[in-house]
Amino acid sequence: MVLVVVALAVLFRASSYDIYVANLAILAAVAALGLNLLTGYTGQVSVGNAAFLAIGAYTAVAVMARAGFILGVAAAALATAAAGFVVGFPSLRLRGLYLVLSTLALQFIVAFAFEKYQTQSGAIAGYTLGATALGPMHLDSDRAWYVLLVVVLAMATYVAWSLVRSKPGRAWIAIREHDVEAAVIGVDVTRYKLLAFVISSGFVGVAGALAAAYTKHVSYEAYTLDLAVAYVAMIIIGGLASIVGSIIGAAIVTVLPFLITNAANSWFAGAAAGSFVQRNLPFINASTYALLVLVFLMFEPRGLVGLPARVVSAARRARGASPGSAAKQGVI
Amino acid sequence: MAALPEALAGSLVLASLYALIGAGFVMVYRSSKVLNFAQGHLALLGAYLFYALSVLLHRDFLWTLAALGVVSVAIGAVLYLVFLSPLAGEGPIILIMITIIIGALIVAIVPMVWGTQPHTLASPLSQAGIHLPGGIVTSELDLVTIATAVVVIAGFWCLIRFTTSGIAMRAAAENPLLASYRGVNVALTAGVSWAFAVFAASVAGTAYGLRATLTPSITGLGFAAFPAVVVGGLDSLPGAMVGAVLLAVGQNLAATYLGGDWTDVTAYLVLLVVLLVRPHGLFGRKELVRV
Repeated sequence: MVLVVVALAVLFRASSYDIYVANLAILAAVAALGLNLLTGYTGQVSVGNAAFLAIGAYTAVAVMARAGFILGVAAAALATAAAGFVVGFPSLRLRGLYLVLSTLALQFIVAFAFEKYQTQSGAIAGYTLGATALGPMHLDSDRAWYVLLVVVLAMATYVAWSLVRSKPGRAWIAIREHDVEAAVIGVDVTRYKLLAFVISSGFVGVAGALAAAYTKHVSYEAYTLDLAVAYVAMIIIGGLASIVGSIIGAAIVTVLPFLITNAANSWFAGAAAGSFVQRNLPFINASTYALLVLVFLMFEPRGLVGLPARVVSAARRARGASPGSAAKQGVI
Repeated sequence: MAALPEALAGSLVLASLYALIGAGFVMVYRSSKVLNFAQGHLALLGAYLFYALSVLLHRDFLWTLAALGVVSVAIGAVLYLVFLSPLAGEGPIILIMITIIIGALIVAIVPMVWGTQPHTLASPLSQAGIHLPGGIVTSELDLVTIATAVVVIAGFWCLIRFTTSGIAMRAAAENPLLASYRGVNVALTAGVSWAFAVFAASVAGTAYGLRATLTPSITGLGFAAFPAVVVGGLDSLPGAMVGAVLLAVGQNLAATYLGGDWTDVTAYLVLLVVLLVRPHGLFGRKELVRV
């Protein structure tokens, strides 16, 4: 209910630029939800999500021009889900850090494949998509896209929420906590691990396809390891294994660079051209962003969704009511 | 295939850089099971520190190297104390993210301090070709680079093999709590391994910077060294060396037969195959649980 009010308020009050940023945040949130199902709930750490975004975007490029927007998104979802199925297989043998390395390999290989494909098909500057029509509606403004994306995010949130509250969600959590014990208590580990990869990459693929249609441009340079890392940062900052956390984290990580750039521009507006600040603005922005993410990681490694509970327990501790909870947090 | 010995000799220099960076991965991984994604960025930082120290010390090569050793060891210890040690006991994903962010910070800060223009490192080592029997062409700088890599890694290996610190590292990584009960100083062990890792990375970065001009974009070295370490085994120093040689030769062959743009992706194709066929690498200790 609160979210609906916020969403409507943004629609009517915000400037077109703000809505553009909000749209990017919503797109990121859809992908972050998918990643959190895989990493947060099932415990499979992946830095391959930029590759999945790319697969979604390239499928959209190939299909949307011929078969329209809806089929393009559907095809992207199917293609990335299939890719997720394939990538999921190493996860049946590899655990923890080895899985991270295999998704790192995926990132480099997919980026290379798309670079080759793009340069050899003569589209060196990337692909441009035409205007998007959804039935009779023309998605020709940021506001129209905003409405569509809010609906998509609501649907994605509902699907993710239903999944984690039913049998797959419980199986995923069991696998995350201890895969051998999960198998002992009757969880089909192979099936549910692959399901997590398929659904997660499907979410990411939809986000990739929608982003391609929204920004109207697709090129391999956009799908970097840094992008993949930004998505991992989103779910950690928001909170692992948290639906709301995925959305909060996506919003923060997406909006932060814009805020930093704005702040830097207004603070340093008087700086002389060619001065240190003017020359190094991108690096100042990048280091500020990295520092803020670092602060989040170091002081809130459990994510922002846990913050209210921690504030309450800290307040209780201050009154000396609960000595036990402090000991639990002790680190070797 | 008359070119093979030559290609092998040419690969050895690249292999020594990979091996040095890889040895840093191995040290950190052995002592704390942390995958250090910042290793290539630390090599970049090391090369720029060499440049700065070289200017400071009036281009005296040996003194600069010595100073670089001290500074890089200090940086490693500080990185561990400030960023890693407060988060000991967190999940691997948090620790990996911390190393990635450390790398991002280095990449953002280096051009602010030293600018984006290329720098040249002063060196007394000649790059003029020395002709060896068998048609192999090498240079003073190449030979010194290879020798340095061998000496540094052999030093690490002796330390692990002949002192208790190797066992302490393994214990600290396997179970920090139990290791601390047995008198292992877990923080010191991990801190020392970080110091060694930054030291090895700095040497690799400097060796790279000495043969090319230095720009803020050489971090790819670290990501290319990942596959080398996995091929050899994440926790094995000899493995890192063998893996580095195999990978460098493989990349050279790929560049010769497929084209120069295939070098990076070859490394990752090899990585993927090794992970699927033999995840613990050629020399690593097996730690697989089947489900």
